Amino acid sequence: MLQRWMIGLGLMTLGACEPMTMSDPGNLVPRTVTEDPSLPAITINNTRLHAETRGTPGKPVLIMLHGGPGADYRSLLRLADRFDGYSLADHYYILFWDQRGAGLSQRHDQGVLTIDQYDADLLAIVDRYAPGQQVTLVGHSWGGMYGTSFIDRHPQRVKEAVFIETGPVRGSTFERIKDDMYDTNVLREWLNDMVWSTQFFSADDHVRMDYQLTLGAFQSQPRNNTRRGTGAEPSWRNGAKVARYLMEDGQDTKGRFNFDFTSNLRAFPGRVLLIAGARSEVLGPPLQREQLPLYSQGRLEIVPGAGHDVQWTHTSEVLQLMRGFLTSAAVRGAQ
Amino acid sequence: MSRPPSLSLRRRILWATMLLLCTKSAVACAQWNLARLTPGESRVQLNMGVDPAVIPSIGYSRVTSLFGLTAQAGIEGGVVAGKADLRDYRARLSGQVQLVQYRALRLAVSAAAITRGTSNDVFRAVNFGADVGAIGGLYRRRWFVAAEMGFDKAIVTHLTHTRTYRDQYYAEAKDGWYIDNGGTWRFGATGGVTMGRTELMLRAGVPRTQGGDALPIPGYLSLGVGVRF
Repeated sequence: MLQRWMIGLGLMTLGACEPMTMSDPGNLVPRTVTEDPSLPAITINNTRLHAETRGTPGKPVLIMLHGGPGADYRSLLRLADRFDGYSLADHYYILFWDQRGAGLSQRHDQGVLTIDQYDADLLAIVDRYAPGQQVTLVGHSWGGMYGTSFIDRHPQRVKEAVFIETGPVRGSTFERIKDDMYDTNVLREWLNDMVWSTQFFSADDHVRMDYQLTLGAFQSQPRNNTRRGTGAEPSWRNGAKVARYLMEDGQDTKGRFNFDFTSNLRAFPGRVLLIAGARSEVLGPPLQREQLPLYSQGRLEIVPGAGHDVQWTHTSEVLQLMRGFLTSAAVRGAQ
Repeated sequence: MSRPPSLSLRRRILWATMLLLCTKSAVACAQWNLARLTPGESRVQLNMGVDPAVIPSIGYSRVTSLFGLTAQAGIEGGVVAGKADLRDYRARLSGQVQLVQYRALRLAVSAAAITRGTSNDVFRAVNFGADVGAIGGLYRRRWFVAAEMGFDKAIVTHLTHTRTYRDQYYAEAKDGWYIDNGGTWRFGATGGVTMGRTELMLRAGVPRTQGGDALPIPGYLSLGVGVRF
């Protein structure tokens, strides 16, 4: 280690290496759509969103909702692949997109990172891809919460939904289980790594904030029992401001979660499939069983051996469940 | 909710040793009772606190006279808790000068050169930084209370990204030396009592990023013990 310092300092002194700047696009985290025009993107509500489609336009529209808040759709892409001869893309026109301020989408500050703005964004997307029609929603984790909130506000725009490992859809539930979700023991390695990183750079812009948040992505929720190492669920880039401000928007002035995505939910006549990973200790079967009665036409399926990343590690099983559930005419025809 | 796993015997021993030997400070010699500084004396100090991670440390300082002013020079090192990974460390070389004294009121300024390292799921890093600060308050022979502020600049950092980060997030992340990394402000209070040659000190305050944002852990807190000889 000492030798590395000496060499590094020596090279810098001699001007043999040119130091980089953390905030420059592409150095620490991937570029967003505003920094890389080659990325697929759409513009709605004055924001540029990283987005791509699978399948054929004209088929029923299925909109994917990634987790987080602040993560991206990379770990959902497998859901459009072909498994056992079946692909959702044969029957649906599928939209993958990174939500406002998340993944590789354009970055924003606090003022437009609210639950209301997120609702307006999804409504604009539904209107763009399925004007005057209903869509199918597929959400993972926060994506399930987001989809539930959308159904609660716009039940007429959704035909049916599949929510995988949905987070708590009521603030009171979140308050009750949050200490079980996050391992905040002050001696935990991940927490010390994250706060210690502030000694090496301060999170004063989107790049550094997003980069620093990644330190919390690996071990902060051990009871999710997600796969680690080879074959682990991938991501592109976290949106740290979304993760912070969207959560704060669901809290009261004392920091307690008080949102409620279920005030009108029972009025939704469509069917909802909840999928849980059997090994997901907090957000898995216990929470999904509790939340199932909130949907008037709800059904719960549990995937054995899977954690919170069930859509990534057990894609074939998840698609089998979805295939048996989805009721579009095209799917029925295929079956 | 699952309970944290119990500490292994090796970790218990390591922790006990650290707690006996160590504590931590913003600048090794800046926090002690200015009314007890006597040129020619030395001090060994042990600190334990959350600043910003849980980091126990040990330091040594010596009091001298500089152009007629009372000054201290010190050295300090510590290792971040958690797994007590020796790659998560900090070392400082610091100096402090007492600039003003009016009756029991005193004001001192300090500066430190810092190196620190870390290894985590995303990167390994070595950093060279500098810390400047000021502390002023009421200093009696047996106790003191003071306010402090300071700025820790992360001047240059070398990053090496892990295979995990490249596989799961960003394969093209750039390794190398980075500048313009920001820094950390601190605003707080400190106080202490003196018992013979031993001093006990408590510090607490609020850190902010260079841009003024809160850190993941909103405050710092440390407890120290120093012995003069």
